[in-house]
Amino acid sequence: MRTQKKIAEALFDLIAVAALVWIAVLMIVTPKEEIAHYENRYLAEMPVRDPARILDGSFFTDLDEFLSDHAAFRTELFQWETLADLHLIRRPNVNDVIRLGDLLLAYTPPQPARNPDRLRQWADERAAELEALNWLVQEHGGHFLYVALPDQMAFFYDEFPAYIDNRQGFRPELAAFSEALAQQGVPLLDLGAVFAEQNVPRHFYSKVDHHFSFLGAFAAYESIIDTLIQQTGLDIPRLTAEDFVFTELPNPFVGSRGRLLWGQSPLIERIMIAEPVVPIEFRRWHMLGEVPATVFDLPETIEEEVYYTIYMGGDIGYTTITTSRPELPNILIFGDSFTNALETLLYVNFNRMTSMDLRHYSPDRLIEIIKESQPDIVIVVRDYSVVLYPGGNGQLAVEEYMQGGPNR
Amino acid sequence: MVFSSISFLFFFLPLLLAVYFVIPSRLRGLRNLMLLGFSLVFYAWAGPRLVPLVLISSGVAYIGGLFATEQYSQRVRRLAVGLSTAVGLGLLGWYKYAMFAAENLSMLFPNLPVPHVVLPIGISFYTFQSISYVVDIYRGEVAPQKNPLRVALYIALFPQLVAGPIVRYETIATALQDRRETMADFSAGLTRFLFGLAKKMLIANAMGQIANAVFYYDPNLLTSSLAWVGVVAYAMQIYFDFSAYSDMAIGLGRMFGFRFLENFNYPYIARSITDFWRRWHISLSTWFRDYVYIPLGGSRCSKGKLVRNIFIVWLLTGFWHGAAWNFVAWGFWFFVWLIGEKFLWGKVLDRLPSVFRWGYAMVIVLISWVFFRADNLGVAVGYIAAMFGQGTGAFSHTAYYFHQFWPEWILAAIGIFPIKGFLERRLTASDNPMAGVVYTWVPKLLALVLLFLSYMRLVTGEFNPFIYFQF
Repeated sequence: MRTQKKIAEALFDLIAVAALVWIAVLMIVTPKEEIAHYENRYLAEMPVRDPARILDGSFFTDLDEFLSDHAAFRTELFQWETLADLHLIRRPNVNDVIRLGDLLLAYTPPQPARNPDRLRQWADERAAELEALNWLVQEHGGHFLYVALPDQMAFFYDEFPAYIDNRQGFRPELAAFSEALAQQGVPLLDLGAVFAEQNVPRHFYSKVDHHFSFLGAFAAYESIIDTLIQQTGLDIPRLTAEDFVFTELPNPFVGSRGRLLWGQSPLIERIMIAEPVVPIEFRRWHMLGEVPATVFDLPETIEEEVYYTIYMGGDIGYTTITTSRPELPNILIFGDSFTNALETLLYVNFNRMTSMDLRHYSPDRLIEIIKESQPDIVIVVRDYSVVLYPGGNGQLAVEEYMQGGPNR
Repeated sequence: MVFSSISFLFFFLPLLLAVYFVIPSRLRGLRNLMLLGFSLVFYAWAGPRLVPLVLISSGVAYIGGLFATEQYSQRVRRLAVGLSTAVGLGLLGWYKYAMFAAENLSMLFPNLPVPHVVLPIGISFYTFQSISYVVDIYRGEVAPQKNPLRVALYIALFPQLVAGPIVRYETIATALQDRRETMADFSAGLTRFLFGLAKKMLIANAMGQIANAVFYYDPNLLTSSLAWVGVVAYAMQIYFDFSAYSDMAIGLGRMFGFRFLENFNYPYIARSITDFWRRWHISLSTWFRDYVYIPLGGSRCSKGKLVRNIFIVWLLTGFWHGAAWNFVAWGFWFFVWLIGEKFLWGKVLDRLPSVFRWGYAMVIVLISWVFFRADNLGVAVGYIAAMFGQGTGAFSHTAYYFHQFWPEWILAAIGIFPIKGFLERRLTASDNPMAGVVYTWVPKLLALVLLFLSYMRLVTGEFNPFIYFQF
C-alpha cells in the first residue's frame, strides 16, 4: 500500500503540475486572436509596459485581463460549459439566454415594477421631444410616424415561467408612452397591437434572435405602408407577398441568442430574404460614397454562418438608396436594428430611402437632413424596451423646436 | 495576485515550483530567499508601491523582536513591544481607518479634510502577524529570529500574506530554517489547494452572484423568502470563499514544507454562538484571545470587567473587519449573544435538542451576515425587517435562484458538513483493501477533475472576488 501511495502521489503531482505548465506553454506559443467572434468584441491586447501603470498595479490588472482573454481553449471551454448548462445541468438561464421549448429568449435581471408616475414622467418627456420632431417634419412638408414594436422577449412575454421576470413585456412602458404621444398628437403605429389582431403568429419572430423573423418584418412592412397611405394620402405603391420572391437561405442562422450560446444553440432556424418579382434598379450610398447596390450581405458559401446583419449589412450610421422614380415619395427612416430588415423591403416603395441609426451618427444630422432634403415621410422604429429611453435613437436634438423653444 | 487567477495558477506557481525545487534543499537560505522574492512579486501584483509597507512591517517586527528578548531590561523590552505595536497599528490606523475617522469627524468639523487613502491589500493580516511576533518574544514564548530574511519571509510568505490565516511565528519558526519538503506533503498540499480552488470557483462565486443580486435591491421591496435566500447565499459565499482561501493557503504552505494551523472547523454546524466562534476564522479569534482578551484580564476577574473585556474584543473584532459602523454593529451583535450565552441562557441552551441549538445559532449568524454585507446600517435594518416579513413583498424571484443554481445549492449544503473527515475515518478504519485504494486514488483523481472544472469556470466566469481581501 505504501508503494501504491507513492505511485499515486508521484503521478498526481506530475499530472497536475504538467497540466499547469502545459496551459502556460499553450498560452505563450498560440498565436493571439484579435476578435472574440461569439462575443462580438475585440480581445484585450498585451498592455504596454509603462512605469506609472506598473507602479500603481494597473499594468498587472490589464495583464490579467489579457491572459484571461487569451486563455488556452477559451472558446472550447465556453462551448463545453454552455453545453453542460443546457443539457446536463439544465439551467433555465444559460449565458443570459432562457430556453423555453422552441424558443431562446433573453434573460434580464429581475427588476421591481416601475413607479407609474415615473413612467408617465419619462413618457411625457419623450413625447414632448417627438412632438417637436413631428412639428419640424410637418414644417418641411412631410409626415411623421412613430412605429413601436415588441422585441422577441416582449412578443413572447407571456411564455416566460412565473419565476423569471418578463418585465411584463414592457407593456406598462408602452401604455404610458402611447398615452403621452396621443396627448401630443404624434401618430403612433403599435405593431404589437397589429400582430395581436393577427393572433400573434409565432413565426413572426425569430426563435434564436431578438428581432422579428423576415415574415414578421414583412407583416410590419405591410402595416407601415398601409398606415402611411392612410395617414398621408401619398401615392405609395401597395405591394403584397405575391410581388416578392421569398428565399430561405440554407446557411445556419446564428441569432443573437445563439451567439450568446457560443454557437451551441439547440434550435435550428433559417433566415429568409425577399426580392421584388419585378426587379427595381437602385443605387446605394454610405457616408463616404457609393457602395454596391445590394440590400443583403449574403454569405459566399452555404456552410457559412449567417447573422441578422445579412439585412442591409447591419447597423450603419447613414445609408441612402435611390430608385430614380421621382413620381414616388421620399422617406427617411431612423431607428435601431429592427429597421434593417424593414429597409430591404421599404426601398421598393419609394424614390429615395434614407436610413439613419443615431447610435452611429450625430443626432444633429437628423435635423439637418430633414431640413435639407425635406423627406415626404419620416418614420422612427423602436422596440418597446427602449421607447422611454432617451439614448441611442431616442436622442433627438430638438430642444429649439419644442413648444416655447426659440425656433418654434 | 489572487490564487484563482490565470497569472497565479499557470505562470507564478509553475515558475516558483521550478525555481524553488531546482535549488538543492541543503541551500535552505537560497530557497527561502527565492520564496521571499516570489512572495514580494505576489504582493506587488496589486501595485509595487505598496511593497515597502510589507518590508517596513517586517523590519519593525525584526528590530522589535531583537529588543524584546530577556537580555534587555524590562523597560527596553516594553519599549520595543510598545513601539513596534504602535508603528504597526499606526500604519493600519492610517491606511484603514483614517478616512473613516475623518468622515465621521467632518460631521462635527465640516472643514476637516477627508484623506483619500487606498487600503493596502492584506495589511490587517500581516500587521497582526508582526505584532504577535514581537509580543511572543517579549513573553518568552519564542526566541527572536536573528536572520532578518527569515522574519521577512514569515511576514510576507505569499500563501498567507493577503488574506491569512494569521500564522503565529511559533507555528513555522522551525520550518523557516529547517524544513523538509516531501512528495507526500507536496501531494497533500496540492490536493488541498485544488479542493480549495474548486470551493471558491464552483460554490462561492455562484453563491456570491445570488447574494449580490438580492442585496442590490431596495430591501423594502423584498419578500421574506427572497431576503432569506439572499442572506443564506451570502453566508455560503463568505464561508466557501474564505475557507477556500484558507484551504489554498494551507495547501500551498504544505507544498513548500510549512504546516499552518486550521482556520475553519465547519462553523455552520455550530450549536451556539460560542461554538461558532471556536470554528470560524480561528486564527483571528485566537489572536484576539491571546493578545487582547487575556492581557485585559480574560475571565479571571469580576463579572463587570469580564463583560468589559468581551466588549472590547468584539468592538475591535468588528473594527478589524472594516472601517464602517455596520462592522461595529456586527461585532456588538456577537458581543450581546456571547454575553447572553455566558451569563443568561447558556445552560438552558445546552439542555435543548441539538436541532434547536443549531437553528438558534444559524439564525443569529445569518442576521450577523446582514450587518456584514449591507452597505450601511440603515440598509441592514431594512433587510432584517424584510427577512421577517416587513418588506412590501412586491419583489420575489426566489424560485429562480433555486432553479438556476441548484447544483451549487446542493454542493454548498453538503460542503458545510464534515463529510470529508467522516469518509477519511471510515476508509482508514476499514479492513477492506479497496478502502485503501479508494483513499489513495480518489481524492487525487477528484482534485484533477476539480482543477479542470475550476479552470473552466475561471475562464468563463466574470465574477471572482475574494471577500476577505478587503480586510
